[in-house]
Amino acid sequence: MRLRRALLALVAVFPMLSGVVLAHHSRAHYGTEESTTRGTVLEYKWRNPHVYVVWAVKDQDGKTTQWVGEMASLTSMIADGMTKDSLKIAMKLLLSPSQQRLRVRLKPSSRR
Amino acid sequence: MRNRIIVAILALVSLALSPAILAQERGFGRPTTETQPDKELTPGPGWKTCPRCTNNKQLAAAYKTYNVDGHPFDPHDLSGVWGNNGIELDVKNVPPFTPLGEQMFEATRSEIPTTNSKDGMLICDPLGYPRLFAYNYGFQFVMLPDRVLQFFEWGHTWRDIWTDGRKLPDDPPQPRWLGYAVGRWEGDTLVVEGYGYDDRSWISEDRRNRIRGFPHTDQMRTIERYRRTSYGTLEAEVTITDPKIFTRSWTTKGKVELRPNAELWEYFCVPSESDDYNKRLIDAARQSK
Repeated sequence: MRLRRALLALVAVFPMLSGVVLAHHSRAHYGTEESTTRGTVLEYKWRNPHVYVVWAVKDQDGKTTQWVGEMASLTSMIADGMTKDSLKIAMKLLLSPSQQRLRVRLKPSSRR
Repeated sequence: MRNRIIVAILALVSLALSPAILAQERGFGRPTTETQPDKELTPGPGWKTCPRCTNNKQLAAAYKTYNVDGHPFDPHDLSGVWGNNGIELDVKNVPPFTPLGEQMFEATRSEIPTTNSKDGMLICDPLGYPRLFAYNYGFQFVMLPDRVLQFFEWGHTWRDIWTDGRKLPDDPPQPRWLGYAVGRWEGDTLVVEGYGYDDRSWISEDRRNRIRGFPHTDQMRTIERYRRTSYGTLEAEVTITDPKIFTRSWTTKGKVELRPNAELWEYFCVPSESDDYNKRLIDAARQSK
């Protein structure tokens, strides 16, 4: 299998009461590539300072691409309802970005 | 095996999902209070959530639970956990630079056009002050007879604001990332003077384009003013003066809300994680330049 490793940084910025939205890392260096992907969770690290996810995406030709996602700070993800138990190995993921927004939706857990 | 590294970055900026999309699946990266959890996450009974762990809906409920609105308060008691981010510096009113300031400002320009690669934050340098004023993930004031302690969630560090009458050192024996700070009351306003800052820190990242940072020298002085206007509201102001960098002072005013349902958790910049991030993202960006 030819493996393509892809790197996806997911930086979540949430609106605060102050009206200020900031992120640890600048997003200026992030590209604007947009695509909706479905994948399978390979690794999930619920930790400070950033939540870390690795998942695999299989394309139409059967090739598997491994994606690495760095999400927002753990605390920001908690505010949005994410917990240490939100992702499990082998869980199916659907990531659907829209412009500069990314929606991460989780489908019911299932084994590969 | 052929390995290719694709850098595809998607910013998770909070905006509402359409209701249709939300129908059957859980989503993250959403700001809408209607889809965020009602219940705060805490370590257990008796524990509180963290400033940034609270969404707007939970905070509104906490304000009712703790009777924040109309709650009696002592204006000379600033105790509490405040805000969850800091007060961003007023970049619409950045003072004109001196020639040296202009030179130092330009020296902070990123090596690559798409990121602030020279930001010490990326290698876990201390943020320093007043950068922690602008970016802190929430802070807590603790009032003591001889000082006010200011704890920050970012870096899980603290700052001593001495209120015992001592003066700032004229010639600090050691430059400090958080400087030396003394405070006094002017009416109901706590006035904090700071000096003796380590010049390796930035005043702040330049949030206008995030590819430069505002530098300072060891001559920088800060004056902060804090006034509790209600039990749940703290007005905060910082004036930055550095005659080597700016031709006039730079003042930022704002306010932060009490977080009655929160206590500071920890948020560390972790060198090993940053190193991994920098190798994967920053170095990849350099190579694709």
